[in-house]
Amino acid sequence: MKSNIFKNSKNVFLDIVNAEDYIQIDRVSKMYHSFKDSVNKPLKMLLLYGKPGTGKSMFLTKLYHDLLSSRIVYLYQTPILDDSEFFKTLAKDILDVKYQGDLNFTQFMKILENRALDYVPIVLLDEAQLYSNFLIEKIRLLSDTRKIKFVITLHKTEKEDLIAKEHFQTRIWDSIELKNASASELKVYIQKKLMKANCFDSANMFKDSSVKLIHNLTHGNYRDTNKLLYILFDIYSHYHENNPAKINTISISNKIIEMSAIHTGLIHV
Amino acid sequence: MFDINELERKWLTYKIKSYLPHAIIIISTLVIFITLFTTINYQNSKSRVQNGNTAAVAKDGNISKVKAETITAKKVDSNTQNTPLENTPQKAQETINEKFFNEKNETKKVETKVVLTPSLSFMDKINKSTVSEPIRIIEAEAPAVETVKEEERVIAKEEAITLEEPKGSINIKRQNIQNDIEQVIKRFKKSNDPTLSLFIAKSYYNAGDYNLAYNYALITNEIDSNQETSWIIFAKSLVKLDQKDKAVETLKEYIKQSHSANAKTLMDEILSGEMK
Repeated sequence: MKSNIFKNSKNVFLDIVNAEDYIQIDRVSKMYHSFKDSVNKPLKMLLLYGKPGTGKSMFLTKLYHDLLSSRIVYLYQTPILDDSEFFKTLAKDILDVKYQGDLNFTQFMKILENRALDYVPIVLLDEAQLYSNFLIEKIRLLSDTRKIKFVITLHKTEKEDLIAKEHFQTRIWDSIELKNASASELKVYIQKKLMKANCFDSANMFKDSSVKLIHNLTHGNYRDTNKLLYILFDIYSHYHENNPAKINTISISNKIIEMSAIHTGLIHV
Repeated sequence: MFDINELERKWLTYKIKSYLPHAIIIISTLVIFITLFTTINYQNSKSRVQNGNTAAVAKDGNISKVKAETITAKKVDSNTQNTPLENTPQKAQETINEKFFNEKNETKKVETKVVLTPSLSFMDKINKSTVSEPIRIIEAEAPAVETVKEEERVIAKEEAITLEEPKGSINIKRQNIQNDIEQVIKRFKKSNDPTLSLFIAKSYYNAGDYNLAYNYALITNEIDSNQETSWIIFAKSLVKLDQKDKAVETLKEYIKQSHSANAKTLMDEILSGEMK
């Protein structure tokens, strides 16, 4: 019996934010470089927004890893929702001050003013839509001091649009909207991802028709695609071990794509 | 983990559901097409039947009208009484061709060429039994016959008798001509072409079946009122059916409309008694 090529392929699509696994399609690659250049410009704030699953977190993680070698940069993937905790974390990371008790915005500003930093630290905040309006307002005031540069990601919803309008409209130096992939981009994404993990046989199984079906089901959303393909290779793996006659290794079966979509909830039966 | 069998079952349900609207659309379209096709076919056949009925009704109406107005044939003598004339249209039609064939010879012999329907029973009698006694042939050229009809009946009888000797060839010809007329009638029923009905009227007139000639001339006139020949056959048939006045009246009406010279000539002939 042949080795199970589907097990490795399945793990490629685990929903883990890892900069090393980041696959950039051409369009996003251009945006990324443009955004990276903007970081070096005298800006107050950068905004990265888009619908869930469009790759914002991955984008931010990649940016963090790329900037790490040349800039002082801090990434907060999980939002710190408590004000005091937020400022205490910043004070500890940026200013190397371990503050006992509560630290409010005014106290943090005083500490910041007393510290004469010869660089502008870059703070990357993921999932910023989870911060309260008050905290967002304080972040805005902090960015106005030009002593800290903020790069934040937001889910593009009605509410987040409002936040962007009210708090960041005049301050954002640059913003990028990430969108879902087109069918051709999705094919590149899937194949690049598999080939990066040396799953060449699995990568070759993705023909235009099967990618089109996947795109129809996921609308090019990377998170949904990852979920779907994880289940798809799980099913393939199952058949490979228990009933290999039911599968072929030439192309991805539409039936198994649809079964995966049913299992992940993309198709409601 | 997942239950693969359950997942396959769900997938099957999903496929059935996804194909269901397509199947419904296809079936509905088929049903609509079949319904339309059937309806159109039904309407067509209905209209054909109605046309056929109209023609038949017209024909029947005319026949009954004519029959009502027709003067019953006079009995010539006891001999002719023994061989009654067949009035059934089917039998009459069978004899048409025979009459039609004999008529050509008869025109030379008799000036007033009117051939009446011979008796089929008479024919049967001829066919069944060999004639032991010599049949008396009445001279066709005899001018002393009192009425035209009597003379005609005798001629018809003579013709029937003379058929006995050259049996084979005459019978074949009769059937062919009869078939021809039947075919023309069938064609006319399908096409309702006045040319065909006129041909039928002419054939019946020539064969001496004035009732049917009258009917088909009438049908032709109804379809196309500008057919001069049809009006003339119509009028002539009326004269032959002893409806001289009606014939003259009809011709007058037609002449008013068409100013037909032939119709005038015919009317003059009828009025002068040349046309009998």
